[in-house]
Amino acid sequence: MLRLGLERVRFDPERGRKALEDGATAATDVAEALAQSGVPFRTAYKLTGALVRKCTEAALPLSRAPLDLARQIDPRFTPDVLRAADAASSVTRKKNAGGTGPESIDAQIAHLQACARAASSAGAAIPQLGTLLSDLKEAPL
Amino acid sequence: MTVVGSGAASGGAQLLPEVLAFSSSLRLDRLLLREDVIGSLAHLVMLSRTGIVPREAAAAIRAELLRVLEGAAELPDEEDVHMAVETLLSRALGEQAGMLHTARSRNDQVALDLRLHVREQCATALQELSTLLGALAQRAERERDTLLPGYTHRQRAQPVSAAYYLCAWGAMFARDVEPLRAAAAPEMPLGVGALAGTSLPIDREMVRKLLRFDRLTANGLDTVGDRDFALDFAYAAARTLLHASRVAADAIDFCTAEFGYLHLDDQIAMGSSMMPQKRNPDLFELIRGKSGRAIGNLTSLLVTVKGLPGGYNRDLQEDR
Repeated sequence: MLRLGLERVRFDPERGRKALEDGATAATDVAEALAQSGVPFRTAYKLTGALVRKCTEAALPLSRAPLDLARQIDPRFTPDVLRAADAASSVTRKKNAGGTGPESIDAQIAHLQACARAASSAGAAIPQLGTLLSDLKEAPL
Repeated sequence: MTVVGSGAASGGAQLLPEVLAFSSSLRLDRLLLREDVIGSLAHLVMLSRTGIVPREAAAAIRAELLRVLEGAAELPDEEDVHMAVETLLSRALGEQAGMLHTARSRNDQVALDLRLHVREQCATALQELSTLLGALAQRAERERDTLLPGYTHRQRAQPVSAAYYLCAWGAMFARDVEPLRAAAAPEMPLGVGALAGTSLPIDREMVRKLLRFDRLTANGLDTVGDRDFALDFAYAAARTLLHASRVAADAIDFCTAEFGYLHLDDQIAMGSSMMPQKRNPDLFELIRGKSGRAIGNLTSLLVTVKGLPGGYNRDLQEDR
């Protein structure tokens, strides 16, 4: 039933994209980009938090935060750091195993397919009642 | 077994009708008829090959057992499926039918029936799980570029792809494969009799091979009271449905206008009896609801087995 249901639902990419922008969901990515440029993560976290608040006040999505607004908070914000606020690149940049990046998705899909095959062969290895019955009908007495 | 039915074998015709009705498990047992007949056929082949029952008698009983399975006659009112089958055999074959129950008790018989049933259910569940995992993998492949928020505390948290969601759902079901495989009741109980075995020269190993179990149960006193295999299956099934309920919860939320990430096809969107605009995710709500039943089944079986003294106890009839 779950399979039948899931095959009959359609994702709405527009609603997803809108929700991502409204929620400043790539804030962690901006903080991580700052951290990668040498800012200690806890500082980067606080600076990005301040940027999210400023963007909210200015009714701007984080992905369109102007560089000068960011630099008012800290000069270590760069155009590259701000580009990290893009949702699509946020997803593809997480390259660690189990993350959202494309190679991880490849591995996860391959794992699901392997488990599907394992489940099917485990099921097939279990003796079926129908087979037992036809064997026992003919078994020599 | 001290409670005797009205059947030909037990001769306990004095049992109060109310007591028979209260004690009968026949209504649920009908689902075990195929398992019961298969167990009897294997037992019979062994009895014949070991010379405990003459071959001609075994052939006559086998033919009659197969007729019972084909539903040639309605199962008579008895305590359980085992006695109902024996009554039908006695009607057709008379005294000769009584040879089938040589070196067997209903205690090991029901342990076998239930194990055969659980094994079959595991096979079905594994095939279903395989199809579901395959479908999730295929869908994930198509939804790599669809983005939506991942949630913590039901608050938007970080961007993920729909593929990532589908893989997360799949990861739960992937974990269910091994418990379901392991729950497929590998031990053969028949031959331990009521609890202590039998003095007749049976061959349990032969029955094991005929019914294709991995090994024999080790101790009769334990075997007739053991429902661990059913508990294992009930747990594996409950956990799988728990996972289904979590996927359903996401799907239900995502179909609301408040989230809006999913749209239901007309084939599964259900209406309201009063509100003409509604498109309800009843299918997912029912999946979430039915998972409660699986948890109830597991709890009920755990409580049935808890504190039972050694050997068989009639409480175990509540295992069905």
